[in-house]
Amino acid sequence: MTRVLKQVGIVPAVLALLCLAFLVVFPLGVLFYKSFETTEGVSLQNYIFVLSDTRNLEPLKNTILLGIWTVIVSLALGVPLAWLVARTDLPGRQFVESLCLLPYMLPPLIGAIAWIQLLAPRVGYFNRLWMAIFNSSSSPFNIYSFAGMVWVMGLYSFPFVFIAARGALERMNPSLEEAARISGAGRFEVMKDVTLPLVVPSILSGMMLAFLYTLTNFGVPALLGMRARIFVLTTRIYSYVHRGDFTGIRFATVLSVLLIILALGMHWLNQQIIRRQHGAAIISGKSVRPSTVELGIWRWPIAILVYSFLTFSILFPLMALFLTSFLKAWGVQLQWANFTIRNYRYVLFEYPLTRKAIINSLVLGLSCATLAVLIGAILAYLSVKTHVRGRRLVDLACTLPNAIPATVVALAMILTFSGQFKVNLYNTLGILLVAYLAHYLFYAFRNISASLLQIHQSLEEAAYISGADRLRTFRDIVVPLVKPGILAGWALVFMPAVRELTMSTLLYGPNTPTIGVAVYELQEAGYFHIAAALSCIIVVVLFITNTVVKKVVRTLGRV
Amino acid sequence: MRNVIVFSLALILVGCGGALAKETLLIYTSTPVEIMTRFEQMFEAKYPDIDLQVFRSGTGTIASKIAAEREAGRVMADLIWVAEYTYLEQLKAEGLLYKYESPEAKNIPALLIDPDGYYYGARIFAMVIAYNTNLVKDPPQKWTDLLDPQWKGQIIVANPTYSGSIAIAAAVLGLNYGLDFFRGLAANATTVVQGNSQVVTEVAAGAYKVGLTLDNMVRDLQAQGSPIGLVYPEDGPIFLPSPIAIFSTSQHLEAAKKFVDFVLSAEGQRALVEIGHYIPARSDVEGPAGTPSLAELVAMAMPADLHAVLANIDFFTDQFVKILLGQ
Repeated sequence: MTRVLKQVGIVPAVLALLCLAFLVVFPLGVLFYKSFETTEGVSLQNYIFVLSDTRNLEPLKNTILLGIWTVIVSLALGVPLAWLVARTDLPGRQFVESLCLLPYMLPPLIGAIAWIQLLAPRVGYFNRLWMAIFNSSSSPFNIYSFAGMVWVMGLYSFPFVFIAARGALERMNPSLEEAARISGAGRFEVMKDVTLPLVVPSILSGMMLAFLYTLTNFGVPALLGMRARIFVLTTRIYSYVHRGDFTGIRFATVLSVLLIILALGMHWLNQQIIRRQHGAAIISGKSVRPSTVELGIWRWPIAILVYSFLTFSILFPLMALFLTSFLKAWGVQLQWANFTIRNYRYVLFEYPLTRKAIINSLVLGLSCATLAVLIGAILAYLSVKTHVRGRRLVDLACTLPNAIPATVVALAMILTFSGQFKVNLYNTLGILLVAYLAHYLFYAFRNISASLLQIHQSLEEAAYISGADRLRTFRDIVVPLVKPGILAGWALVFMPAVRELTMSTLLYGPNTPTIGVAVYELQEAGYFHIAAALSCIIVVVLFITNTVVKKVVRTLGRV
Repeated sequence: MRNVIVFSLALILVGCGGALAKETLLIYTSTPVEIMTRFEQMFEAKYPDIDLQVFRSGTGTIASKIAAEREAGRVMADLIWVAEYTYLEQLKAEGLLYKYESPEAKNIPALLIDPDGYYYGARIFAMVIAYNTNLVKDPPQKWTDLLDPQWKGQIIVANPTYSGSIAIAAAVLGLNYGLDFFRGLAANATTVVQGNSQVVTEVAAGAYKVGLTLDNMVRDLQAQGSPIGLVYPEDGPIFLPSPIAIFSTSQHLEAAKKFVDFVLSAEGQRALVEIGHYIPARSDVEGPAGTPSLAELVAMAMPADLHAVLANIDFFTDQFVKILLGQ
């Protein structure tokens, strides 16, 4: 035990654990307690009431179905695209990659808004085009449907699978494939018998992220599902919360406990996967780039397919958003007289939330990402590379808040940090920061753990044999090797934090609106055209931020 | 790395520490953001020492926020201004409101003043039938006309768990027509969205032919040239005198009183007419062209006994959601 702590340094370890307790364990404890609390004392009454109501079982079923279908879509999109980008001579791979990562950068809320522009019954652009061409009075597409939710959710969660698969394909030890080729295996057999089994753990991990992301997403089912009467757990929880009394909030916490159980199951699965991955460490310290597959005569047909798909699914919605942002009102005829720049003038110079929101979100993103990798790195090391008792619990505590719907994390923070326990962060950026940290610590922790896992024990052992002590080994071997993981973790926290919506809607005060809140306020108020203008500005801001972050991360990673 | 941390922490401090010089006044309201922004500017121009901070959302969200705040200690806001007057009755009954006799009270009709003196109806609007003028030549004239099969799939309405005004409307319609009215709407495949302003947007865009929504929002879109019209139903629009009140826990009572007085003043009411196309609460302020006066609106409104509405609003909200949303 003492040796282990010396290895990490006792002070940072204790600090990180305290942070974890403060950010996660305590608020969730309060929340858990509230789920049993009734006006007549502590009992199981809330659970009995919620679970005996059939109206709660339908959302449970929908949540799982939506998760499964979304994962199927993510898989179908993410794996082939990752392979094409990582391992083939597809023209413009860099460009394809940045298009695939675009959805990850944008809030699904903006995605849902954009797809509404295209596929809303009767007024969506595609539907209008169809009705004009075929002179029909009914419109074929309806984004307000289960299929619509799966489609948009799939588009916004496939980057998880894409990133995981591409990473594994790039890091893969090429000698394994070469060996198979030399032994006479065909290209297809190599892929089936060697490549796939090697990358499957990473893909499964990506799938789990996509599933969790869907499980806890609120914006898409709220905008697309609620009016089609399709409820999932998050929107059901939202309905409970918005009953306006505290009993509703308690019922919401009960449903959250259900979600936690689902998430625990996923977490356990992921643990099994990571353990298997550990068995087959595929990075062994050599840095040889895997060979490139030549697509031959398929090169251009595949390129055309990929580019038209990306145009349709990623560029068109953004273009629709852009078009709407210049309209006088939503749904008007597309004539010159109906175009205006008034929406932009309003958003930039009159709408009071815009400037505040952009500053707040950038401040929150920067501080949250930095603190998350600091805490996450220490905890990841504790959990992966040491044998401290209770390290599984650390892992669990990092994962849980990400698996709980953000709405509930926000509620836990309100209950905990509004002065009842001597800490009052209410209506400040502070409460948003603790909620973001709790929710996104997972990304930093998971990413750094994964890169720690991939460092084969042999590298550290080599250092010991050469006479280095543990600290020296940590500094000279571990840190440089996980540095890309740390930086990637930073970016992975920064981007969703900048565009966070769900927690912000419950936690923002008059001076602390965030980017997500500013857009949601407008869309929810029915100012679709103005919301589109603000969304466009935000897309630009996020695009610039993302490019800068990537540049910085890449530069730092090289040193 | 250390620089980044120091920088981030500094930014957080700056973010938290700003705007402490003025007296801050926090209001929770469901007033649409565009209207509230301009109203805030006018108020702050008149009282430069007060920084009015606005948290805008549906009554449902606001009620949840207040519930959570109470659980955690105390209500943070100084003022509340929503459409759901029954919610203020609840707050009053729980002793959360501050009794205030505004000097402007003598200028507004007694029916807008809480007999116990805790709140004032200050933003007058009504639930009406809106229709798209390009698609509909013969709009429904009564609420019950909406149950005609010709409107199947063409009706849109807000969600009473989010919007306080549709919650009241659901209770009043339910008390007058029973649950059959909701069942009829459900049989006509009525679409439920979150808020009333979304309803007007969708009707104006032609995504739906008719909607149940607020008269002032329809006038707002009409002024912008949208193809939308409104009918005050023959069987009575639902009268909504959105009340304003001060919280008993407010630490800024004097500033809060100033805001209530401003809202009720001729100047404030004129601003609400101009910016938000509301019907004025005062007879000495002229209403938007071609709209009924407050007295006319009250005379034609669907009967609604405050106690009956108060006693039944939760029941009808639940039933509405159950029948129309299957929830």
